[in-house]
Amino acid sequence: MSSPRYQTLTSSPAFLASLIIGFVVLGIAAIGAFNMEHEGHYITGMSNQVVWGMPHVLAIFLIVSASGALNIASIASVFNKDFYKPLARLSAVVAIALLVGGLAVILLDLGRPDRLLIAMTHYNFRSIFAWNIILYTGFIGLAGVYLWTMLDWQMEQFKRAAGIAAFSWRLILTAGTGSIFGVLVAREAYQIAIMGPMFIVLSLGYGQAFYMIVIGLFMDNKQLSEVSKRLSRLMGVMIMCGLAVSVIYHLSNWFLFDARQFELYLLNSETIFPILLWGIHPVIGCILPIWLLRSGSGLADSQKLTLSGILVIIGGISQFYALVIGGQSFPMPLVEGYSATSSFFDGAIVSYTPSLWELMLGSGGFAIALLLIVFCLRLFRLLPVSK
Amino acid sequence: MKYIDQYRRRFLGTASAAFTGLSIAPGILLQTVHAKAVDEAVTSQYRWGLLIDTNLCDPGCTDCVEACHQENGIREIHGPETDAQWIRKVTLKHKKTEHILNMPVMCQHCAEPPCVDVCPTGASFKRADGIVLVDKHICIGCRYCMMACPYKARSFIHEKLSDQLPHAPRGKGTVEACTLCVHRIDRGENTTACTQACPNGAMTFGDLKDPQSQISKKLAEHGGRELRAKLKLDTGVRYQGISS
Amino acid sequence: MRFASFLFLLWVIPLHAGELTGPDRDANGNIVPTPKGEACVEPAEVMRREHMNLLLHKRDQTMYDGIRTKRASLNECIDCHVTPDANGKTARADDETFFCSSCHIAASVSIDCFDCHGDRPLDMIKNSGLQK
Ligand code: SF4
Ligand code: SF4
Repeated sequence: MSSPRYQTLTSSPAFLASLIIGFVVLGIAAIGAFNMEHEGHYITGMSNQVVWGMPHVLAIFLIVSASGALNIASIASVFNKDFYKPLARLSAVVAIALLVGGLAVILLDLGRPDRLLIAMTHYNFRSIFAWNIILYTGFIGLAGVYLWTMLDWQMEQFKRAAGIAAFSWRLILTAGTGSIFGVLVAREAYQIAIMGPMFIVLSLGYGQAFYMIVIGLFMDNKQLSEVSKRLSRLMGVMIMCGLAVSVIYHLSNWFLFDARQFELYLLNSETIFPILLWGIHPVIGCILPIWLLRSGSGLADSQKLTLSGILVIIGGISQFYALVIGGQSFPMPLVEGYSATSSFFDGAIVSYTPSLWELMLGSGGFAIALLLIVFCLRLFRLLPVSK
Repeated sequence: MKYIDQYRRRFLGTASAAFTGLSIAPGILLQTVHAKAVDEAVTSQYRWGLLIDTNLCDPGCTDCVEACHQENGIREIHGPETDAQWIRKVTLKHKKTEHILNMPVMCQHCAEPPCVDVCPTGASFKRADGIVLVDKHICIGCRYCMMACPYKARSFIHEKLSDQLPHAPRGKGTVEACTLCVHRIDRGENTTACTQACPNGAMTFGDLKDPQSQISKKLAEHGGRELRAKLKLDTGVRYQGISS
Repeated sequence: MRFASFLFLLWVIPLHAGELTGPDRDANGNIVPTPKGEACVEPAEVMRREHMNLLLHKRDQTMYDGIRTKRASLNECIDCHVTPDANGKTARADDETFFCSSCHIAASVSIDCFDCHGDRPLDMIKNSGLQK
């Protein structure tokens, strides 16, 4: 097989539009972050009850997606599928960009983002969170090296090794991200046995969704027509796997972990969560994109890929919202057999409404990822040229 | 680096505390009752705790809460969702018998504190004498400890503060909780603001490792239960009068 | 980081040494409140260079070992160096006339001590009615 050729991105309208949108959103995010930082978190919807809000939902979603975005590259190098090889470079770039975007949001939501240096120099090695900081930095490094082996023919010989290293690392990373929640023995919503594996499976679909948006926007039509069918089929499988693992999560909560009250709260209450979990996630985030990718209803390949990618992401964010916010807003038991009330919302379902500031900050993660991807596309030869 | 030394010592301290064992049953430990000198470092010779008798706790009384917040300079700012509450009055109602219990809940000063385990920087830590604190100098405000605490004992500071009390520094963007009136303990006072304020004597403060202390004697006599005991955190705060 | 700020202070302090020698003026020529006590815990020379190390050492001792002696305790610094003017008011941490800030602003070495520590003695907080 002749080796594929690559090109950089030209100043297409999509490129310019992405730049403008990226910078505008980034500016908006900066205002949000600055204001939260200056005033303190009371201007957000977060409280002493729901301590992780919209920024975390979006950031964790980005981080999980990041590891999944590397999947295309892993299929190419680790599992040696020639078809995916020309697509591998871009996949590594998307992965790095999403991770940087997600981390930026987490960082700026800290109570003391000015203490980044402390976070980097003081490690409590019993903390899964501290391990994740190491996992994230390591991932950026490894994916970077992997990208280098793909871009530089002199490094070719290390490509497979780097690919395998990056692939193994991302499995640990995603499991680690899931374990951030998994280790919280205090809360019924999160069980260590399921959180890690679930995050790994979910990452595949969500990562690929971002990937599809990027190629839908920037790859030329001829090239797209060659890949879209295979990618669509792969995407369909990933979406179904994601849906299946979500069902397993709820079933195991119900049958294994005895968290029935919590499941009823998520799936059958007058909150937003049933809407998200019965409606947005399965319908808009799973069925609709699969239908779109299969039948297409007269849309161009690029539109199909981009649109279905966006739908999957909307579904994914809804799911993470239910997981992160739902898990916190449901009361923890204090004494078995008793119901509790207090001035501190014991025994009460607490409400959370994200403030504009949080949404602004959270959107910054997407803007950073978009800008990074666009810059890399412009600087490096990442896009395959059709033969 | 001085700080590294501190860190190491702290780590070793924790390790040895765990090693010594934290049995609260009356044993053969021989201890002097008087507290440490002001310039002495705290040791694992003590483990401070509280015993709360729910039978003596009045419904509607919030004297302990007010005393605590007065003692530590905690003031009302933006409302109950975001204001700090180091201690709160909880009303429990038995789901079947409808029996009502009242009790204050604060940081339980766990011997196996989840907040300390999860803290990425080591800002959450347990002192040699069992008091769990936040070193706000290195707290980055990630709130992971709040996610991990089974008792919702911790509060995040949601706004800029001023006029903090000299013995109770607290500030925007960091997390805090009941300190067991650590400043009093270090002065050698054998009580906390809440214990002192309770008109019914529902709270007993003392050294769980000293079999002669009042708290140990009461525990030996009537027992005392941990909240969410299944989690096996070996809490320093115990409750009496909760029947299952 | 700390070392860098230390070097920077070493450079800045002599620049303003002339202004500092007068009893009541700081680097900017602002009036600095006269301290209450007779002498600091160390000579001024030592304090200028070492105050951060003394404070840091003391901070960790207090935090981890529960040693609350007065020497090099930030609370003692505040008790002595934050004194009311004729109107009974004190400078606040952000003011250029605040004891610490008078130098730190000039040297552009930012400190976050007063994010968490009160910037005036207990008596004054009590007088303001915030505390019983
Ligand atoms: S009660 Fe909560 S804050 Fe206190 S030691 Fe236990 S886990 Fe930590
Ligand atoms: S908020 Fe502070 S004390 Fe709590 S886990 Fe994060 S760094 Fe540690």
